[in-house]
Amino acid sequence: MSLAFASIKHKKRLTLLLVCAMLGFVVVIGRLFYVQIIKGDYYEELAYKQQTKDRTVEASRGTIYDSAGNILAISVSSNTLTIAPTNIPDENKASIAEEFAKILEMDADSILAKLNKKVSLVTIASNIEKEKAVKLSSYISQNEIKGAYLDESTTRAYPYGALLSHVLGFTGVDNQGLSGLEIEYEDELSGIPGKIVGSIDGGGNETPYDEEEYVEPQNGYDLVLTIDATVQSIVEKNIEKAVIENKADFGNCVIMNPFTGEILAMATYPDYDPNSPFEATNEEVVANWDEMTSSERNKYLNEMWRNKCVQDTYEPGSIFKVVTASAALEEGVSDADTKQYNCSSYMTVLGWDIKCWRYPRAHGTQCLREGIINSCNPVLMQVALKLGIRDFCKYLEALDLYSVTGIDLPGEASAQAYTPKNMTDLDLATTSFGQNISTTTLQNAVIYAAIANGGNLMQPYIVKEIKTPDGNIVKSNQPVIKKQVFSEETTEDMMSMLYDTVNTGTSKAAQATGYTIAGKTGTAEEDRTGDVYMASFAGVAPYNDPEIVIVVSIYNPTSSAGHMGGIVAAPVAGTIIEETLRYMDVDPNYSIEENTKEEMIVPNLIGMAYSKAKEELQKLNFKIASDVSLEADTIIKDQVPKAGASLTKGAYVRVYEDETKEKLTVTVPDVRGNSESYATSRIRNSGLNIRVIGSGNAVIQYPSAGETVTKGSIITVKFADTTDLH
Amino acid sequence: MFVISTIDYKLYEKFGYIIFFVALATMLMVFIPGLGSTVKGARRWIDLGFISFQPSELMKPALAIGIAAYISKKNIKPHNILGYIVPVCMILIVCVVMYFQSHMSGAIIMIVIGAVTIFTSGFKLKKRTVILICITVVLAAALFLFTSDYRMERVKAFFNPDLDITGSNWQPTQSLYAIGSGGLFGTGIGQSRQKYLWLPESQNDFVFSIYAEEFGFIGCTVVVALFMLFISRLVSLVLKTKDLFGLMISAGIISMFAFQIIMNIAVVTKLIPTTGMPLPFFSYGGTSLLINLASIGIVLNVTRQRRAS
Repeated sequence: MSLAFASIKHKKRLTLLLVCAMLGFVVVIGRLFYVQIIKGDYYEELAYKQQTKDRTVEASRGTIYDSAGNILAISVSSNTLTIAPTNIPDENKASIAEEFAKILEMDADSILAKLNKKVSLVTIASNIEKEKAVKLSSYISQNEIKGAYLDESTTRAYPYGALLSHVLGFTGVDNQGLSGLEIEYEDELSGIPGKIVGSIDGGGNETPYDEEEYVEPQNGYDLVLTIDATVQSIVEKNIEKAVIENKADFGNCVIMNPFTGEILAMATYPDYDPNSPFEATNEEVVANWDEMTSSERNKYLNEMWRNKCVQDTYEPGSIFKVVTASAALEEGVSDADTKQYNCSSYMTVLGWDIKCWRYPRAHGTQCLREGIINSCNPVLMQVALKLGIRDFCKYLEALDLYSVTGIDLPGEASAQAYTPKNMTDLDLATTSFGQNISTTTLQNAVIYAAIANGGNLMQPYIVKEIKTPDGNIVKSNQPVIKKQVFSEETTEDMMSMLYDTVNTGTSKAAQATGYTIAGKTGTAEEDRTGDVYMASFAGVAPYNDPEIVIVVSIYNPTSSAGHMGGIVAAPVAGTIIEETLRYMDVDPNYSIEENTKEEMIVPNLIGMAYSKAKEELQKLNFKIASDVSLEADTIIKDQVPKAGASLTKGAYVRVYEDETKEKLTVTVPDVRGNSESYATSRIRNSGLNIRVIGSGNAVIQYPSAGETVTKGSIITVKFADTTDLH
Repeated sequence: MFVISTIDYKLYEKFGYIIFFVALATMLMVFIPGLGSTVKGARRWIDLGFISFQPSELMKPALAIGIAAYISKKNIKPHNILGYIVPVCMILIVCVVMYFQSHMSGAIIMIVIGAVTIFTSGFKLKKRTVILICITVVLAAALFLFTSDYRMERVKAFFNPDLDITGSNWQPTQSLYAIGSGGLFGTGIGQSRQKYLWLPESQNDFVFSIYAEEFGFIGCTVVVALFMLFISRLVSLVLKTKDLFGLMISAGIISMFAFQIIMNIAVVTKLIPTTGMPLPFFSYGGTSLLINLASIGIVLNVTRQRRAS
């Protein structure tokens, strides 16, 4: 049929084609060898990288404890149950809803309603406790419920709210430290996250391979602070009172153990709540928040978060006189008690007249001790000039006043002071009484600690221990003496001068019931217009056996009570010392001059008839009072003050016929600066009772002026000799 | 395959033109709205409702048969260049249709099948003819390339492997990941990870990548060796035939297998730019498998006739 015949030539051609094909096969084998054998590992690695997905397992952030074991900051994990309703078959919904409801202690119908929603994802419950979460997760996995997700997340919680906020700082949305200890100890607290390496397909979903690799997270370390939450709350309560009462911009306070450098309390007011750090606390700012630009908001928030005890420096004022005096004693250019200095109410240095605070009233001839007691500027100027720039600056250097204390907190500000190179005698003169130098509140505390502990400059610290979550100690901070700056003789002299200053001098208002105090007040000019002052007190207590060093600074007090450290800072410091030492179980060894007025104990009137009660009170020289007029036979159900309170004669006891009825209230008057008799009559006229401590003029009162209290309540007022307080 | 192998191949010579035109007609049917279906921008399938049929697969052996029948019937002599105009036109017509089907790889196969068929016929190669052919091929290739964006993309991607990883380079790159992961011994049967949506068309033109991942270099070598054995065995059987028509259709069909196998592996190993070249007996596709088996049936009948005579 076919005419053509397959010749040799045709077959040669086919063979040639076969050879070509075979060559082609050899080439592809070569290529396969290259890809699979030579580059195999390379491609395998790339493939592995894309086929697996690391899921991070968050490490739990470490807990922060105070020295007594109270939790100041903790990471709380919570679980959220989310459902993809479309992934659950309709016939199973009812039983699943019922089971979820049982575990979560919720209403089954409402869960079922959520399961029937036509949405891609719906949250069934959030903040699920661990116990329930465990039950849920086992139920979900046992029944292989697809589309039910239980996700764990952690949030940082600060159980004490605003307490210690500036020191603790806070964390951001990813639980990373943003401020305070949270950022300073970020590496220790954060831990190392673990991961689950799972296999995924090109769409990002898990593949049937279950060879998951699990790397356990290493939880963060816990911190144990030197801070005592109780002391901290004593301090914060009182600083808040002082700032509000004195209409100040802000106040801060550091309490430190003088022998170890441990910080027991560190507070700044106004404070903020680290649980919600981005919420303004200032009412005015809150009101204007919406109108503020973001840079204004940031500026405000950054200011609100500042730990002003370490991040800001101020001119210390007269509390700094201890440095000048101690340096002179140490260098032997002056002793404590030789009357060799003269105050003519001002002094001329390099042509400038520098006034004493008491200008134009001169202090006259004084010794160094009197100079400190009277807080006399010319005395300290003369001492400093005698010492000379070089020797004076030697002590600034020795006290680290050209640098920082090195405390374990972020953003510590460096003190600013003249150096021997740029200091003139005029600068020396002003620096001698704490002007033209600026220090942090913490540095002032460190200086006073050196006076209290025999001359050693301590390294202040706030973290006592770093522990693993199981409680093994990773690091334990021990007290470090950086150097001895003063001899014991010097500090002994200095302490006695400071004791006299509180006892008889310009810092009398700091006196505390039960404890001896050595200290010094300061009233620093913070600008050269003479408008802004900082009232401060730095002291040591008890005098004989120091337990604490305290520095209180109240910035820009503007109330009618004045801006003097002796009026604004000393009384509040005295209260803090008293409350702190009492909490620390330090035996009281001293009391303010006993009140000469006879106090009587209020009797129990409850259950008595009105007439009988009146009679009882009259026997004790008390008066009876009531919100409404009562019949003679009305049975008394309640009284203010309660039985057992001590009151002086003429005090009112208010009685009530119905203890459940709301009692009349009254606003506490401001009696600061008032004499004892005037303060007593003002308080009694307000329907309140007074308890008097000390004598002289009122320096501090509890509760504070402006607070609203029940009529008949006792207002405790501390009096002191306020003449020549500075 | 067995049914076809019992059909006397000489019938193909008789009905060669009809076979060719029937195949051509079905290829044109894809352009009839409602009958042709478009997949991924390419109009290559006839939708029969229960199954979709790819006429270009049918055209592969049909072209070889058509050309061989023409040459054989007209008894075209090797030096008669003008006598080859009709076969060349047949190839060109098929290629034009392929062009409208956006089927470049198919067109290349057609050219190869046609060229091999003509080549085996003993067509005398003169220098200027070779040059003319070369120019035509280059022009045709350029036409295909520059008239389609996605072909340009693929070629560009091939020469710039780091660019467009998630686009044009995704498939070849994922293919390399799969093949490379196989190493010497492979990950084991069913253990491919790349088939989980990483490698597109992993059941189709890129099925060899997954095979390579699971069976490794050794498995690949075995398969390629089997293919080599398959091709050379067919050739050696066919070489024993005395009939030129049988030789020509067999050569066309065998070249179809060899070319597709080599090109497919070259594509998945990223030796050449991506083009839709199926791997015979591996790739998914009913038409392809059916035609492949039928084609072998034809070749088997050619060899059987030899024995019979």
